[in-house]
Amino acid sequence: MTVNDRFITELYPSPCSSTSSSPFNSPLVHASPTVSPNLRPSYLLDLDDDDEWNPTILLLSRDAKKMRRISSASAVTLATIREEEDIAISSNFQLYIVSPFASIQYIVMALSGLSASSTVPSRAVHSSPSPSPYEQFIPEGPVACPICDLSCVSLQQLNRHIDDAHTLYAEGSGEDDDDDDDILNPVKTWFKAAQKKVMLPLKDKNTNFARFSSGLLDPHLMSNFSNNLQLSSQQAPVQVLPEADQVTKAHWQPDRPNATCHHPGCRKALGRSGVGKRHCYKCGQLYCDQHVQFTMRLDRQAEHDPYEGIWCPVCQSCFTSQEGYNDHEGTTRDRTTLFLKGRTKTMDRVHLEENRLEKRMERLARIHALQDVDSPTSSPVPSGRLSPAMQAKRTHPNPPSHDAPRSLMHRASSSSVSLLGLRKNFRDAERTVVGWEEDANVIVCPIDGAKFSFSNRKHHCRLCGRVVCGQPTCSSEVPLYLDMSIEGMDAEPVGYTRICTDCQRSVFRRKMAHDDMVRPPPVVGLYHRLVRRKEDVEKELPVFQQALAMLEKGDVQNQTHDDFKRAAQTRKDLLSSFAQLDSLSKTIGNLKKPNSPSYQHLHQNIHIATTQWLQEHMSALRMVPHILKPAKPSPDVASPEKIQAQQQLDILNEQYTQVQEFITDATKKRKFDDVKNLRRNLAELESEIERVKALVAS
Amino acid sequence: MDVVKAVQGYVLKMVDDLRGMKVLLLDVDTTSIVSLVATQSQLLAKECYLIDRIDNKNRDRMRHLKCVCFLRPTAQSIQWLVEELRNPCYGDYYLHFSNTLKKSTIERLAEVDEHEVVREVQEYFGDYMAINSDLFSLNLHPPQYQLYSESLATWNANTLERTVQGLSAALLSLKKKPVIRYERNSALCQKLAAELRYHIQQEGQLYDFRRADTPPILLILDRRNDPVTPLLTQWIYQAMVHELIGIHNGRVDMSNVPDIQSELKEIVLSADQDPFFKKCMYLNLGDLGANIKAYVDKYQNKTKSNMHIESIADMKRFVEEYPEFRKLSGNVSKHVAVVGELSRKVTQYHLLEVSELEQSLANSEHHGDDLKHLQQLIATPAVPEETKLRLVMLYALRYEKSPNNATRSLKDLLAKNGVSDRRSSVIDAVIRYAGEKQRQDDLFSNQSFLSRGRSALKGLKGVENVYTQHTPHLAETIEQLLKNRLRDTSFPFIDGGEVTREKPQDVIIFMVGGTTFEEAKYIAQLNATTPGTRFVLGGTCVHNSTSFLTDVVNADNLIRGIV
Repeated sequence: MTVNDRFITELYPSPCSSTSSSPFNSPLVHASPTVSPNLRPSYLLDLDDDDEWNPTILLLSRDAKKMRRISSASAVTLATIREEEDIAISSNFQLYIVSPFASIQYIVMALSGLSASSTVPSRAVHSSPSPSPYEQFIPEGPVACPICDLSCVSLQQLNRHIDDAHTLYAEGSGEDDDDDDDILNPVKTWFKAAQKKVMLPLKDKNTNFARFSSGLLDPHLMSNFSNNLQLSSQQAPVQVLPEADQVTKAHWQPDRPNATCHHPGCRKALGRSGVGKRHCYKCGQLYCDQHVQFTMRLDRQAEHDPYEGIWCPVCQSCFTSQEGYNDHEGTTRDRTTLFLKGRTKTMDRVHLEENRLEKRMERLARIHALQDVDSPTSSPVPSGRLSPAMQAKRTHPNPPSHDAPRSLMHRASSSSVSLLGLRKNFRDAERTVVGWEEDANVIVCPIDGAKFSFSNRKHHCRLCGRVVCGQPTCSSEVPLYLDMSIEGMDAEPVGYTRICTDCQRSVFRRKMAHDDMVRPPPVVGLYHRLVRRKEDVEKELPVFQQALAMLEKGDVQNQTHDDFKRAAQTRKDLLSSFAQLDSLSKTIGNLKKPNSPSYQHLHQNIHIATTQWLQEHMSALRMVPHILKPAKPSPDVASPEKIQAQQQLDILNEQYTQVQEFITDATKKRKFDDVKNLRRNLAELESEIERVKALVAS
Repeated sequence: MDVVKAVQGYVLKMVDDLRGMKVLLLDVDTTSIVSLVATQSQLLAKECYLIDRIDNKNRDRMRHLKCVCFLRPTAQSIQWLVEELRNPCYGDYYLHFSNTLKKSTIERLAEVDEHEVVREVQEYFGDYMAINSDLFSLNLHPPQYQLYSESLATWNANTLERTVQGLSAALLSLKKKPVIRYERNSALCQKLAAELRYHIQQEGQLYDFRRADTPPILLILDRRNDPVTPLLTQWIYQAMVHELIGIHNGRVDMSNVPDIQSELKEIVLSADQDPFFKKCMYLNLGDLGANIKAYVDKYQNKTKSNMHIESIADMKRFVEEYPEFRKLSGNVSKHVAVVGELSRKVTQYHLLEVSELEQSLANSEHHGDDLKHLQQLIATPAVPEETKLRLVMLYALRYEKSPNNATRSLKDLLAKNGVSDRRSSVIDAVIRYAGEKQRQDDLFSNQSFLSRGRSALKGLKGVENVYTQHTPHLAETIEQLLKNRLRDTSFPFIDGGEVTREKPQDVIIFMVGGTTFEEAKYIAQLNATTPGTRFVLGGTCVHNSTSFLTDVVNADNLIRGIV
């Protein structure tokens, strides 16, 4: 443990080692000046010269000077500690302070694990309030009883409460258990002696110090001390605090004489002069001073507790591994539900509208079909529905392709030029489907806002009746189908009519989405294959590496033929996968899609990404031959030289292609120095390949 | 507390969760946000094969691609998105917004998604430029974003909104719900603090984070309290590049550099992707030179070993190392070009001499010597006008209240040396903008007898490097904060917000009116040397002297009623 503990051990080797099982260290600090050189200079120990084991009262504070004065006045042992050390000390001393000074008596219990920032107050007891420099120890407002947590208005009241409520408890427990009584008695007498000594200069008559303090002593805790007390065969100063307010030290690493700092890379020998020795409160490991510079709040189980925890010094790894410390994932908020709620409403509306427009569309189609039939070229048709045979018979001036309707829409009215005469006939019938907006009321196109003029004619949308302009972005001629389901639209249209783009979007919404998904561009299929290959490789590669590792580990002689073969087979598979990937990505890279820069870009980027991926993954494979070489001299069908040569050839060929790639790449980037180098390389490779080839052939 | 990782995390999460071919659709703002933290190859590796702008009207229909959108929820972007959804180019849409969405916006989008293409709507709070791991900027530059509206005490409403959004996004991405403090004398800081507190209250659910041991602190400062830092010549790599060439969104425009190779016309400086830059970004020019030399040597060694290929093993090694080698060669030539340009400018503009005087003006009281030195430099024709003006500004700021103040005669001297009155009016402008009356603390430690004594003592300690002895004013503020001595009277907590007295563990500093790379370097140093406390610095922008003086002139025009 810390300095003080060690120093006790030096004085009383046997008793202390026997108490090491106790979670509490001996609170006994009494040393002759000869020992003090062992102490770190930052610890100032003022010791009572009295060689007798008098009750020792420790006063612990951050203010060294103040405390010294008290000590000279009352001859109590005093430890003054530098500000940042007081935690270390208090944790070893289990403190309890009695400070007689002038006519005031303070009983201050400094709780162990006392944080640097909090001044004792919440548990301080003080009998007569008076202005003093020690007001920092006087709690303001109500205080809580340290035993039962009853809150008292003033310290006097707390005193009385302790008298009434807890004196019996201590005595009672003493009667219950003889051992405890034995222990309690010396303690009590000790406190009485201490009190007498302390009280001498005091006129105050009304302290219940002894009873109070004995009341504090939990019999259970006391038993921990029995050994210590008896072995020291003296009345040792013992004071224990309720465990409630200290961070456990049960998990602390025991102090070894040649301990080193646990911080990775530090390994400083601890306990030497200049190198402090401290525990991390959380993990319990020993560290040097520099590596316990962090503080965090811990609860009694030494677990992180940001709410109620006590500030404790901890090591870097405990500090940085606290939850959320290295959390780089930012906050996100999902608004999808809200969005979907809104969209359901939209879709209800859209579907309604769609149905309505589709109905109109079908009515229009029927009108067209009938009119068509009425025209001289065709025979009459009984109903709006046309048989496929009929449709086939009818020849449209410009046979509509099975292209997406979009393309048809944009192909202005050319298809219906010859139908001009017919169109007039449709008009009246078409108006029955939906009422047309009055021409005179409309000055600008509602879609693009263009003014109507002689060149910018007014058109009516046959589905909603609005007046729109004839720009392809506003309205266009679309094919009419008798059946508006997706399959129905595969049939030949019965005619063409003009509708606005808004209506087009609604009416062909499903059809458009369907068409796009049905006929995927070639890249989709290729990419799908690419991804599958990649997945294969990603699955195979670790298997292969494992096999290699095994081959490497196993004795070359004992290695079975099968293992080797399997590894070689996997490697071959992988190589072919890589080759396929490469060719696939090249195919994608070379795909042509005229007039579509986006697709070109897509193809090229897939190619680049795959090349990157290959470079990354193939490097693992490249290392193989090194390892496989020693494994090779297995009794094989072919001569070992030949296999070796064959393998070498494989590698060389592989490298040959790679260098070639580098060259093209470098040329593209105009790095001619590199190219020169590479070319030399290539030439060397070539000659090497020739040589090996000859070897294989022989 | 790493802003780069936070934003990077957002971007990679967007593309990571989704399998298959993807296109990433960005808007004006998010393009620069993403480009700072992610490279194309990173995105390619995540099957993100196309990156496009939502305002690009010439995109092809590619219904087989999934579309990941990352947009700032501005009116403009939402409008583009509405049009996109009306006539979708891609199959599925995964919408991500860089800030909170209004409910009405979500409803509007739901209304137009007739093709049912939207699969997800998310808020990812990467709404700022993450420059270094501990430095972010909102890139608010005039003319689009003016800082002030009617007077220097009122925000431009648009800029304020953007600042609140950016700063709150930074907090959310770092998962911090801070205690807010601000510089008392600055109305802008106070307003921003109040707006931010209001925002945090409104969006209480979002700010429901794991409790820290002590609440994080957001300290809002005003550039006007330290006009000196952005006026100084810089010697730290990153700061120097920004001062002498300019870094915009992580890119350095080298096209004005004489005899530059075409592939080095625009280069990227990113600590995240360039280990050499990461190592050297906070080194001064001297140390940087040594490092560059070592780097070049390393490169030459590699080249040599690549030249001597004698065995198959050599060949194999060559093939394996070649891609890495190529990367190295690109990086070497990049840094050599930048550092070459920097040292060229240093000699050309006599920057060493200038900087010595600057540091003296910024750090100590030597009126007589400084004045003489200054007069000499003004008379030197090789020193550019801007530099002369900066020096006189530093002089005017330090000796503003000195009885021997000779600013007037210096201005005459400037005029004699061909600096027009219009240009030298910036000297008065900077005094009006951030003169002693406008500042809160004793910036030069020369206002009282006591502080003068203190600064004299500081001078006795000696300095390591004459050119980098200046520490930004920010340093003093943070030092006090760490010692728990930052006074409530000068740096109050925002009304109605939380208050803390404990030593902070996480500190976010935000500089209204722009921060500098010198301050960023200080923060980085602090992060490295202060165990248990982490800092992040942000600002409405990152200034060099040019951009700072533009702000000063704009503000001054406002004060004098010239718009």
